[in-house]
Amino acid sequence: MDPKINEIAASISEIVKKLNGSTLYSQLKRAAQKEVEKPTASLATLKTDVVEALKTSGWDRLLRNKIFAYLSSCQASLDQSLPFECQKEPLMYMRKAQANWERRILKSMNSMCTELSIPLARKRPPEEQRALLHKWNEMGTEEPDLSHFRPVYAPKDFLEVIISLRNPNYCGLLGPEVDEKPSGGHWGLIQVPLEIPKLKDLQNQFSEFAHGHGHAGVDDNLDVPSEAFQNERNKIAKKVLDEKRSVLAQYFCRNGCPSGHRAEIWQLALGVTVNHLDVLKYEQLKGYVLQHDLLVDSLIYKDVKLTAVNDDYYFVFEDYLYQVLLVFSRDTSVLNHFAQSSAMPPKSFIRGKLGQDEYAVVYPPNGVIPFHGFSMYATPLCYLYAEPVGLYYIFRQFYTRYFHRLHAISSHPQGIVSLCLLFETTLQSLHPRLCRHLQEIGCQPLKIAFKWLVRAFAGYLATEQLLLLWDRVIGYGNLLLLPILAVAIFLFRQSNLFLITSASGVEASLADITTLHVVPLIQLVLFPT
Amino acid sequence: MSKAIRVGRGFQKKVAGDHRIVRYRCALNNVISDMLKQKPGWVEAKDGEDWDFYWCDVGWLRENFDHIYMEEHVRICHFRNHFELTRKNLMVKNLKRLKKQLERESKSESLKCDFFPMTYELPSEYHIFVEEFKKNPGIVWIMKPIAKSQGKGIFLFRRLKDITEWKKEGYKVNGDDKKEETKDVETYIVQRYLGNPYLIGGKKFDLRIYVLVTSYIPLKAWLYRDGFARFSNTRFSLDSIDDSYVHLTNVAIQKTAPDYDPEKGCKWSLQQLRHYLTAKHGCEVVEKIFQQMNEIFIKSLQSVQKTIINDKHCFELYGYDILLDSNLKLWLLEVNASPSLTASNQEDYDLKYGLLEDALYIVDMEGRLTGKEKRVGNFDLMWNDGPIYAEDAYYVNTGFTMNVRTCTQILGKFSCAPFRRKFFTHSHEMYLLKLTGTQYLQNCNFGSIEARDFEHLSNLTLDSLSEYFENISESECVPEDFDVNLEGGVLTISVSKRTGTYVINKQAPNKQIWLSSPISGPKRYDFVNNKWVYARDGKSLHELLEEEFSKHLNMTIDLSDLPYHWNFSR
Repeated sequence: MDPKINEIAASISEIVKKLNGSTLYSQLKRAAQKEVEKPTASLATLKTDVVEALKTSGWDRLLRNKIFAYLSSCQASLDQSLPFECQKEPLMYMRKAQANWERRILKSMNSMCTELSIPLARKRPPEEQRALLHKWNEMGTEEPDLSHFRPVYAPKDFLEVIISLRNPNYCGLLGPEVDEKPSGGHWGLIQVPLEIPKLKDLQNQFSEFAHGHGHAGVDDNLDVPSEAFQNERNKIAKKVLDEKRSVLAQYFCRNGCPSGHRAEIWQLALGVTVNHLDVLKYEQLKGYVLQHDLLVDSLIYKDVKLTAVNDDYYFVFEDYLYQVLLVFSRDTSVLNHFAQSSAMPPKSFIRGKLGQDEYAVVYPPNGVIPFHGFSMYATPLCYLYAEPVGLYYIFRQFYTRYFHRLHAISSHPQGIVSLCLLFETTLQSLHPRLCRHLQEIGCQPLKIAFKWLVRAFAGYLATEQLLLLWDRVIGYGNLLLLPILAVAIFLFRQSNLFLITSASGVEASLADITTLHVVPLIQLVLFPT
Repeated sequence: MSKAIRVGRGFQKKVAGDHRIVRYRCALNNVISDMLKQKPGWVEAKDGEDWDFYWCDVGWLRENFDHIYMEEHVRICHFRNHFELTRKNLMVKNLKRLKKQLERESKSESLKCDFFPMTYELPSEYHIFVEEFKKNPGIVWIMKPIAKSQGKGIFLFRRLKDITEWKKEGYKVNGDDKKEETKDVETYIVQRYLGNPYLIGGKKFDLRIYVLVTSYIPLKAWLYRDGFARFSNTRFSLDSIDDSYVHLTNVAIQKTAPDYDPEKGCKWSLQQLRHYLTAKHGCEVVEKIFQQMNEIFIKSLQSVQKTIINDKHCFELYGYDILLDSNLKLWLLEVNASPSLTASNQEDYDLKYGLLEDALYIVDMEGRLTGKEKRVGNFDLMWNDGPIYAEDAYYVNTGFTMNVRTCTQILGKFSCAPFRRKFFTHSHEMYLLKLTGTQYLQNCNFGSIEARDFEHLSNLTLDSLSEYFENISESECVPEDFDVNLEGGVLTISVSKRTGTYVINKQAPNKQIWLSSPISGPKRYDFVNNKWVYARDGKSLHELLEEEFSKHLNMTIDLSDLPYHWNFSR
């Protein structure tokens, strides 16, 4: 039998299994039952009648959206016969590296605990719970002493780990000693062979960036009359929202959302709906935050203070960020994404039972340890959603679909390693002279671009531009445009870069990229005129 | 009767080839005095000396205005009875009057005046207030002393009792000592407190916009683009009525909040606010909000147009405080005549410095303007005896969106004022990108140039210019006394005794090249886009030199072979 059919069958059964337990399933069932109970129902045409009725009443669309959301959050189902860890990450050296990295993080956390003699978690006394509840809406006014806390790791530390990755089965043309002098072998810092898309593949994949396609971020920005374009986009946006179809919304994002409709379009495209159950769930998670004080809370506080609060634009959203990120850390449904990722949720043991698996608990409950800059994944979203609950669910979806890949070692085509390699390779193939110049003055472009990639550019670009970029992340359902944009920035500033003769100079000249416009830059790389 | 003191005698006539010296005085010791000190051609007048320009305080104005006679060119920074607009009670009185007047003419027009909250003057209107108070139980009122600014003496109350206490105190002084009566019974206004402000991130904010009026009859007003929104530090709720930090967003008050971080300033630029509101409500709504804002400026100025004693020697820079409520309606809180010119941080300093620099350019002591300008620096002319309409279709009338021709100007400002760079992130780079395509990309030089780069670029520029003019001095049509000299980074080109001398020098701290031309005066050039550009007119150094020297020497001067001459047309 055709293996493809097998694959499809497997994913269908997977989806059916998932749907079985969902609220939508029971809702559908109830709606169907109502149809059957109608006096007009006839036994002969019962099946077609019910299906038709579900279609006309809009349930059909909800079901489609749900399936679409499942499909986009699952990767193509791998061979089920493989052991679980191989499904997560097929390359053993990647698996090992990730496991080592996780161990390091956990160790660093534990040693922080010992150093400061704080437990990983403690139950809050009732009066403290009440005080926190009272302050829930303005946690930013609380100024706990965080001077002893330090972020568990920064993107820079993570980059070092990625640079040191080696494939033990691979030997460069000049022999293994190439590692010592990278100038002889592969030019860049990433030394592992992974398959990355070529420029031609990218052009095919991102064909909407070719000239002749109207884009929000270019065509609405000119001072020449652009109303026609804007009106057109606004009209389509309204239509898409009326249709309530995730696929359409996602496709619409490829050409950028008009800013007045972005919030709703994103919700639709990502399949995020906020009903009373979700509000309840949020309140429940909030309850968990009130009950227990975790070490990660302090890390989140610290990170928000270090990043968002210091930003002269985002500082306004400080309180919202706590309301989202603290709740996020308690949300065990986030754990599901680990099935798609090379990472494993960190485990901790109940006091006195160290090493005994039956006493192991995931720590923090969502399995995600925040690093320096983590809160910037959520910050730009504050711009779109004015209340914490809606904001929370969009953020969770963004993270579990896309951003978790940006801080885990894997061979996944959208994992950070592949993105880094794509950046280095594309930059070198498009402008070898620039690369040579940079190398001669002792500057590795990836060292500068890495922080952009890890944060998906949040906090580096102007907000409006960042949202235009994330439009495309949703639209194409992948992160490949991040390295493309990073390449474009280097090309765009090349005349400056050629004048500079020191690595620190390069860093300085690329320190402020808030004036850049992302869409024309991406076009510059993908479809140069 | 003492004789009026004459002010401003001996002001030099404008002579080609020589700067006119402006003698100034300044009563404040903050950004304004810094700015004046650095103005080329301006010198500070010592006590007792004659002056042409005075940035005075209102106290001085009150005591001296009627006793001086000012020459034609003299300018001072307040109108005689500026308080008609800036004292809270008078502002409301004037607005109420305008509203009544308009009601007679048309209902719709008078509705446009509905932008100030219910307001009464105390103690004079105490009884009307009490009536109104009883009609609306439970609402919050705010008491403000009329003549104090920056949040001094303001408090909120919900019960009449809180204010009877205050009243008693006032009367007690009144009874005890007749003499002090006028001094101590302060007039307050009591205003309905706006309990539903628009919140961002749960935080309350108000808007500060600067408006420059250069004449009341006819009314001529300019609107500054770089306004900002000031956030209050804590979350807003009416429960914490005693916490004045939450309720008052004046920078002066926020400064004493326990967790105030002066480096942060808690501000958004108007542009950032606009983006945010657009994301939430769409373009059309935002457009309407900004139209409302223009309406507030115009109506408030019109309300005092006939009351203010117009005087061509006076101008006034107003700071408007405006609040947006949750229904997206704007409310005028107050107008400040001497907006706080003390900077809270570097960014704020840059903003205020730029504001004052541009304002003085419009006041135009040097006589550089034609009077027909619709935009100077970051000021847009918004009213000139009637509304100002955009001359080209792309220009948005609210004044906050920029226009094609000014893109390059704004671009020019980036390298010197990092603050502004953040403001106009939207279309300038884009515009240039479209305009010149890849050529632009390759030649573009964004952000501030490195110190070392500046050294290199400016040396190359000065060297090449010096060499060029050295060479043409051999030519026949050049006058005998034509002389070129480059020494220590200063290039002097004396054309002739009659015409005067050009001085071109590099300013390393600002990363600028400064030019002093006997024809067109001083200019500062920033390195933008691979050429030296003067931010105000968008012209490059080389263009200007070509133009002026072609005239002096009666020959075509073509500098296009020199480095950094590159221009758009090629």
